[in-house]
Amino acid sequence: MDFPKVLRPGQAGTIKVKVETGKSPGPHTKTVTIKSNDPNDPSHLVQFSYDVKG
Amino acid sequence: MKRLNINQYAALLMLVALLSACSRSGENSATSNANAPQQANSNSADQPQIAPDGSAAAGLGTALATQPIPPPQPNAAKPAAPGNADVANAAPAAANGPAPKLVVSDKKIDFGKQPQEKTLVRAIVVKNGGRAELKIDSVVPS
Repeated sequence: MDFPKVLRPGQAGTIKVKVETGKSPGPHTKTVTIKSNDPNDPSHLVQFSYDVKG
Repeated sequence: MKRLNINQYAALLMLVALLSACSRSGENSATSNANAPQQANSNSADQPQIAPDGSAAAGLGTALATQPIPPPQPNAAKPAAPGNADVANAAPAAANGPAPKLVVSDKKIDFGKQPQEKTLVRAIVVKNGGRAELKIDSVVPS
């Protein structure tokens, strides 16, 4: 995944996330963990959900 | 003359004996006076109902009763403790200094219904909302 290594105070960036739906139909949930040096949130979770048509 | 001398010696001896007795009684009275207040205080403090002389003794008793007032000193120290606690709480904040803060645009992303074997791409916006440099170590899917 592409992500910025360092962000200065006030600076923003983007993280590109790719999710492959696969073959199995039905609802799915995946998470991405962003680990940083934020003392209050060192491991931030982002959840992705999708429903694959059968 | 000899009788007079003997009488004089006897009188002198009596005077010396009296003087010595008086001086000893003065010392004893002084020590007894010095001890008397302590005994009176201790007795009045331990047993306030003993107060033999009425109002005066009761006054001493009340005065002694107010001596334990020193406990207010710990009470006065208690308000100081929260102040110290505040200082102690403020100290770590100052010790931490500026810190980075990760701000993410989305916590949950719903792609909805999707066909099989499709690659979904989404860009997550991240921002440093803190006052120090934010270092992103890794982005791991699971």
